[in-house]
Amino acid sequence: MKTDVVVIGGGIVGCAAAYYLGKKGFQVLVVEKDPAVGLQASGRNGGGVRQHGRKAALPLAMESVKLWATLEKELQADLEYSRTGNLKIAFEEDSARDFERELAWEHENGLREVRMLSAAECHEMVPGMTSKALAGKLCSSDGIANPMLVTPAFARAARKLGVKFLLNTAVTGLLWQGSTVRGIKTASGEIEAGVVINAAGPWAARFAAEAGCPIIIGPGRSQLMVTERLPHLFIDKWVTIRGLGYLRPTRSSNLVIGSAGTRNDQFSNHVNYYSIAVQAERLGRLLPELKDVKIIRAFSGITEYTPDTEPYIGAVPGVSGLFIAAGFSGEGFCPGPLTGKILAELIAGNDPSVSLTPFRPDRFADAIKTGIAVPPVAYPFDSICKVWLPDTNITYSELCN
Amino acid sequence: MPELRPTPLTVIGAGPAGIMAAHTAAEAGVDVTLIDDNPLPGGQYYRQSPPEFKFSNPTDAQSGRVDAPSVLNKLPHPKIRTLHKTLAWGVFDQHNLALADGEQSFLLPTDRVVLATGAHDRPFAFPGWTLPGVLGAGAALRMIKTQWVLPGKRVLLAGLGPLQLALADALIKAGAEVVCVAEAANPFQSWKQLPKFWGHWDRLQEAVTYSSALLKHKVPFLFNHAIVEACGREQVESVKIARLDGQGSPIVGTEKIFEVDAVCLGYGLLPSIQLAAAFGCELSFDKRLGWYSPIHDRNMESTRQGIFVAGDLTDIAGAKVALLEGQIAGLTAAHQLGAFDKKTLDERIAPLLPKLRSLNRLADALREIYAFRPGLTKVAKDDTLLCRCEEITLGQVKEAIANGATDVNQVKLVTRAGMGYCQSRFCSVLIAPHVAEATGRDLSDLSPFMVRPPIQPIPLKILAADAAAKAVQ
Repeated sequence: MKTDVVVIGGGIVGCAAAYYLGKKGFQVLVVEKDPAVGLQASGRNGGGVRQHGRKAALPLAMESVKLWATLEKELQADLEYSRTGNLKIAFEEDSARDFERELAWEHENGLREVRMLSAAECHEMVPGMTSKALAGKLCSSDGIANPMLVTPAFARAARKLGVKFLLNTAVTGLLWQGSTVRGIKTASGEIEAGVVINAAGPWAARFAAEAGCPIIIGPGRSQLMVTERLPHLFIDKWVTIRGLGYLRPTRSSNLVIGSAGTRNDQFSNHVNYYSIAVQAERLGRLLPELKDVKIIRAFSGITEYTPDTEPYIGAVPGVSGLFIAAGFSGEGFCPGPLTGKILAELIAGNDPSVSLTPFRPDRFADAIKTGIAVPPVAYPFDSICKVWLPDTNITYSELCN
Repeated sequence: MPELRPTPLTVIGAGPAGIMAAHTAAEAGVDVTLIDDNPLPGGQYYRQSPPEFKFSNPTDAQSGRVDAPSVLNKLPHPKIRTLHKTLAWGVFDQHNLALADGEQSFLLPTDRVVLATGAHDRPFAFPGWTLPGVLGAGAALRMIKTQWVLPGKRVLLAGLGPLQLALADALIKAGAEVVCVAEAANPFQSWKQLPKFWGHWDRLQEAVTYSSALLKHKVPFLFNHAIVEACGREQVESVKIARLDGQGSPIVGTEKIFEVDAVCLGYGLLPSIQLAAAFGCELSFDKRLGWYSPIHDRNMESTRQGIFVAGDLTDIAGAKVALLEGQIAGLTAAHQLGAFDKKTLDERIAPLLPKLRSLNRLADALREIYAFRPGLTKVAKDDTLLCRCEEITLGQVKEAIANGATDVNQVKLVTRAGMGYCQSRFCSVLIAPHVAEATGRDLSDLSPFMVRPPIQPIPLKILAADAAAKAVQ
């Protein structure tokens, strides 16, 4: 089989890249190991289309939010996208200080829609909290979309442009001609392509290593609980509560209770019993009115984390024909569509619309090759949850693994 | 619930299959945990009235079945720890069973497991099926026999199978007027099955008794008829039935209307497969059932070693088969746990097999006669709800398929059908045939909805209580 571009991984990035490449007239094949697209982190996350709290990826997120505004029209699909706003609440001094630091960075980068909130405002926006909030931070241009709809919508639109999908097929390696990639290997045969995109999420490291540009990626867990429909939804926006996870409403008046950013050594896509129990306990104490609300389902997907929580995006240095976009550290949903568009720009030979310097794929390559000062994967929820489990010596991730 | 000591055998469901499995293994010296979400054992077949009810005649409390005492008296047993009012709501790491009682959730590590989770009423969608006063035959029987409440005064029964006769008889005895029994099967087309009834005189006698009760009360009994509509404002006031063609589709122009205040639907039972699926037992599609049941071998062991299935969960063959299957599962589990050797196991199972074969022959005949005919799905109209939790109509499901959805899970993602309170336990069987038809695929080629915990909704505080208890330690 032969095609212009082969995409490894049918997540949001892979499907978006396929769509924008198809639009530019490329012949594209997406190879996905699962029976459908978007079954891992791309479809199993909270659906936050969020900017605030980003570090180097802030400009990427800001451009992404502009793209999101046009996406439903572009894909001719209802994605349940809405700029609901995104509120973060802190109960500890150091979290509150983090908010101040974030705000300075965000204003410096031109994100004007974000501001600090008083404790009173936090309690007004999330009524019924039993602990007194210290500070809040609100970004009014952030929003929510339904992750279960977005990746399939990209795939559908891509198919209309002639993009092909090979499902239930795991990629086993790359095809080489000297230092040029000329395709991929699968269990059912080889596929030749001028360009290969590695959008394999937590599984991206093996292809990067094969290309001589090793990256550090660790598997994480994105876990969600969905409540029964509530007669009165007490929140109307995404709410992140430091040390607890996030809450968000759905269009059908359910509440989604999620967490992301814990280690997942076994690449498990099963729900972890203790982590949902701990989260339920925290939430019940903070918002006692939720105690009698019923959980109707829980599910989880595999995400991936890097040492600096920034992704790897761009052409793989020293290799011709290979591109990567992976390592989004639990924040790939919002920038996923734009990342796909940027990959299409790069492959068409244009300059990317956002600087990719912070996301250089080889930024840890030397450390890995020499074995000196190899940075560990950063699991953000883990460090937050040390606050949570004060009476035990174990981290949240250890509890959950 | 304090820390629960695991036992070598865990049995889920205290109906005929579960009680027999637990009792058989316990008699062989195995410690058993028996889990059931009801306050009293018995399941559907031997359902007992609530413990708060007082009876002058104590057998009135035990479902009215003659063999009830012999089954129910097997409990309590010194080797069986029974957890009543306890819901098994999920399986974690393949062998940790998540349980929830009224106070808190907890994990119980399991070794050998017998799943005897039974069956539930098959939902049947037609215009007006969600009106108050329209209820399942199983639910109606339960109301009459254990709650001592009549579902209505003027009742129409519509469905498939002999349970309808039993229900009609119970309704009449309890003082209701049965205005009609609409039986969707046409037994005269299934005369080839008749020899399989040879020898089952008790069942034939039962049928004769019930039928003569209907005759005595001049209840119209219409073969080859199905319900096509229920009407009413606040609740059901009238129903329409129609004659069926060879495929089971209603024939326009043959409708009859009855004024009623209740409708009991008995379109058969479906195995409650959720927990089996959560344990990772493979399911197979049963053509006559038009749905899935767990695969098992002669010893009732599923495709997962040490996980057994028994009773209506496997084949909807009734209480007698459930008792035998429970016994076989209990014996095999006890053997695997070292209670006796293989030879003893075979010796003890051997006398059960001819009985089981004979009963299964009858069950087979009944399944053949009362197979769910594909045309029955035609009763739903475009504005009929298929998923009542999320209020998704047949029209919306068709639209999703027209827009490119090719299987049940894709329809779920696009429409939210199956994402509601029941978590698709009920609606998947209503949606799947329409997906099959619209996509030109065979129903058996569609994979069912994914099963996710909790299998039944659990309050946040129940889950939270476990974490709170752990933190205290």
